[in-house]
Formats: sequence, structure tokens, C-alpha cells
Amino acid sequence: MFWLTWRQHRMQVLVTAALLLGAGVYLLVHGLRNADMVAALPADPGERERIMGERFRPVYQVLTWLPWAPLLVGLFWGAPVVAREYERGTYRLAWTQSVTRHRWLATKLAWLGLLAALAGLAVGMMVDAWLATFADTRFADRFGNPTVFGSTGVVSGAWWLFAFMLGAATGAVLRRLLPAMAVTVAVFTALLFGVIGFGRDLYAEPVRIAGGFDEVPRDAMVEEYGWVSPDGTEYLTADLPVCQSADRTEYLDCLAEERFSQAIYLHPADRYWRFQWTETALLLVVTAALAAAAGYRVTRR
Amino acid sequence: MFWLTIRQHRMQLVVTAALLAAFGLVLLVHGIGTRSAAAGLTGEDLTQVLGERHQMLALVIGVLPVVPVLVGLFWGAPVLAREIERGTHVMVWTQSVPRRRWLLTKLAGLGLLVTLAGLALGAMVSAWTATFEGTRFGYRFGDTAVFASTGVAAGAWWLFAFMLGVAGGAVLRRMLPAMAVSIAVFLLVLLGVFLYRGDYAAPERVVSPADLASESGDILPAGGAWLDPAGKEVADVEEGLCPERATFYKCVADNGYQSVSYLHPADRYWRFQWTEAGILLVATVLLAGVAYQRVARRSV
Repeated sequence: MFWLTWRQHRMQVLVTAALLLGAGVYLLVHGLRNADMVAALPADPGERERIMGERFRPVYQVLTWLPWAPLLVGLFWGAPVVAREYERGTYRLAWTQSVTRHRWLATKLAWLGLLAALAGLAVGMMVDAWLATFADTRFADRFGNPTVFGSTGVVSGAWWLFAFMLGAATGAVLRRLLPAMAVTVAVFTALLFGVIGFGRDLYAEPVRIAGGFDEVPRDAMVEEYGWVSPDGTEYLTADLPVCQSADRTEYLDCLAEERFSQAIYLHPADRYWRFQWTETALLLVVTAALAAAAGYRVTRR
Repeated sequence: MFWLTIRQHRMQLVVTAALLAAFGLVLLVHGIGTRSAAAGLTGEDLTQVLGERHQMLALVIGVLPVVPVLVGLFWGAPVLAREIERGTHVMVWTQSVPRRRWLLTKLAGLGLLVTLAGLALGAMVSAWTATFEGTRFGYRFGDTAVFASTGVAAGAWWLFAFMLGVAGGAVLRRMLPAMAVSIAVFLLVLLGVFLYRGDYAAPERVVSPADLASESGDILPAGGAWLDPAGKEVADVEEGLCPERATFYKCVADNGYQSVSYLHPADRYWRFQWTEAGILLVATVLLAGVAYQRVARRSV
């Protein structure tokens, strides 16, 4: 069964491996040259930031698209597993051999899922290692930056595994390749937007920090800014009773004159692993449910 | 033939139309909400409110430039690859309709619909962007993602992606590989266009005082430099001249430097739109030629 799985899906596996290898070599070379750059940085902090930013930005612009990479796994690894067999009628042959269809499906999902998860974890490690070369600057943020968070650590592997199972399950339910792919795109997109847009804020209660913008600790996930009036009432920026007509340059001065102080709600950087495991656990639960749906559809037919 | 085309691809048509209508409705409701929220506001207040309204959909607007790739996958790739993969081309190409006409009708009919859909999306996004007019959230030229999803470029990107999928299917003859190659080529072209869009025309050179925060407006930036006290253009100010970051610009200005920016002004929007559409249309015609050649030359 392992041999069959490999034989049927080797193209996907090989292309993915080649792309990962290419990305890994590029990030490695870029990261090593970052080390040289960091060693030669001038003392002036503004100048340091400018030089590092120039080095960081071109690669980062590509990295911001990484949260979408799992979708390709769902389309090209997941959706064909069952849907293509149905569509071509080859399931009749595949499921009437000595291997039961339970085992056929379980082996396929387990091996391909394992490979997808490992590939996702590899991406996470590569991005982590690359970010680490920007040590102790805001460029190394992996928690405060929502697009980077999903492509680092364990959650990267969970997203890849989830996307694979999403494709496989929609293929098993719809039994046709193109509709399965379309639904995979739609569900994945909705979930990704939901998680990045507002889902992560719900993983824990934010910490309240009193003080100005300068007090925001590095790599924190900021949720909300509020203002505290001299008599202790708290307002959101839009509801402020004063300074509403001040323009941008005088705005903060005006609020300082009115003796307003700031309050920031955020998740500090040390919650990174807690949030990583929370999101991983949620995705794994959904993955298990999808695998069960695929199993149910295939065995009941 | 037109009936056959519609009949074979009606699912894509219906789903695309439904998604466009739903997205249009979201943009419409959101746009009306923005208008009423911003009514009567000025200054920092207006910027603040518009910024918050914009933030709600910024994530979605940011990914719009890659949406055409879905057209390539679900409209384009199946046109030829699915027929060949299933063997149905043997039947289709031996009917009274010659295969050249079969292909041209399909490409013309579907290509037209795809272009119209792209233009519709462009019009909707333009209208939505206009609700932020006067602030940086309303930029349609300076914002890379919005530029590709508004105006005629939106229609051209959709048509290009469609034809890329068709040509991929014609060359590779199998759907999954055609889809994978379509994605890869589309992303490369998109990246290339984003990187080199500034080269569609020679940028204008604007010299301004170094300590004046320039209110740039909806321009496409194309690099910057410094004009040193001797009037020579240099990439950087003299090293160690102004070490203090907080007073950097004032210090640079006091030392006689002026700032040079290269940019494309806002009124070049349409010129750039047509340039981008033209480039994509040439690529589309080449891809259609590849597909035509593959189909016409192939024995059943």
C-alpha cells in the first residue's frame, strides 16, 4: 500500500520537495549573508534599522504569501486522492483488491498527511531560522505579525495537514475533482481570513498595559488601543470626547494637554507557544473531523 | 457551438457570477456604511474613521490580484485538458463543426465572459475605493494591489489567466499538471509586473526641501536620492553628517541637502492601466496561438 501511495502521488511529493528545497537554499544563503550584514552594522540605531529593512523587505514581501501555500497542498495533494478515483472510475478496481477500502484510505491519508505535515513543519523551521538572523529587531517579529505567525513553529505543519485533509474530504464527499478543488479554495480562504482577522484574539484574554505607544513591548500581538481620561473613564479612539477636530500633527499633543493617558490591550510575546499550540490543536480537531467524514463517505458507498 | 460552450461551462459561469454578486453586495454595503460614517467629518477624525473602515476589508483587497489565477484553474485549464484526459476530444473533434471553429468559439465565448467579469470586478473595486477619496486609503495608483484590480487592467488580468490555463492544458494535456503550471507562471508574471511596473514610463523627477514631509498623494514612487549642496545627485548623505535620528531631516536640510524623488504622478493612472492591459493582451494572444497550434496540428 505504501508503494502504491508513493507511485500514485510521487509527482506532487517530488514537486513540493523541490520547491521546498529551492526556498530553503535561498533562505539559507540570504540568512547567512544577513549574519555578515549584522556584523558590519553601524552603531546608529536609525541607520541599522534602515539597512536591515532594505535587506528584509524584498524577501518578506514573498513570505507574506506563505499562509496560502497550504491551499496548494489541499488542491494538488488532497483533492485528487479520492475524487480522481471516482471520476475516472478506477475506484472499482482499487477497492475490489485484497486490500480493504478502509485500509486503502487510511494508508493514503496517513502517509500523505504525514508528508504534508512534515513539509509544513520544514517551512516553519526555515522561516524561523531566517527570521532569527534579524535577531532582536522588530523584523524578527513572529507573534505580533499575523502573516508570519502562521508560517512558523508547529502551526505551519498543522495548516498544511489541515489543508490536505480538507481537499481529501471534499473530494470524498463531492466525488468530482473540479468542484472539490473549488470548495477547498472557498473553505480554506474563509477559514484563513477568519483566523487572521479575528480568530486569534479569542485564544486568550489580552493583558492591559497603561502607557504610551512607546511602552508596547516588542513582538506583542496588539488588540486594541484605548484612552483613559483624567477621571479614570476609558474610551476607544473613535469615541473620544475631546480633540476630535485636531489634525494628525496636533492630535497626540492635544490629548496630552487634556491629560489623557493611553491603555493598550495586547498579548505579550511569551504567549507565542501557547497560541501556537492552541491554533495547532484547533486545526487538528478539524482535521480529524474531516478525515472521519472522508472515511464515512468512502466506506458507506 | 455557443450553446455547447455555455452548457459545458455553466457551473463555472454560475459560481463566478454568484461570487461576483456577493462580493459586489459586500462592497456596496460597506461603501454606503463608509459614506455615512464619514459624513461631516474632517481632519484627523476623518482619516481615523476611514482608516478603521478600510482595515475591515484591507486583507481581502490585498489578495485580489491573485484571484484571476482561479479563473485560469477553473475556467481555463479544463477547456482542453479535460477533453483530452477523458478522451472526449475524439468525439468532439469528429463532428460537423471543425475543431478550429470549436476551439475559437470556446476561447472567444469564454474569454469574453471572463473579461467582462474582470471588468465588473474592477468597476466595483474602483467604486469602493472612491469612498475613501482624499485619503491614502483611496489610492488606486500608489497601491500595487488595487491598481491590478481596478480599471481595464482587472479585465486584462482575468483574460490572461484564463488563456494561460487553456494553453497549459493544450500543451500538457492533463488537468492537474496544467493547473500547477498555470499557478506557477501566473505568480511569476504577477511578481514581475509588480516589480517592474514603474518602468512603463520614465519617472518624473521632483526636488523638494529635505525637511518637508511631502504630501505625496496617489503617486507611484520610483526611487529617491539626495541633491548635495554642490547640486550633485547622490544616493546617500555624507556618512556621519547627521547621526541623530530624531533631527535627521532638519539637520540634512541645514547642511544644504535637498531631497529628490522619482515618481509617476496620479494622472498617469490610465496610461499605466492601458500599458499593463496591452502587455497582458499580447501575452494572451501568444498563449491563444499556442493553444490553437496545438489543437489544429494534433491528430485525433
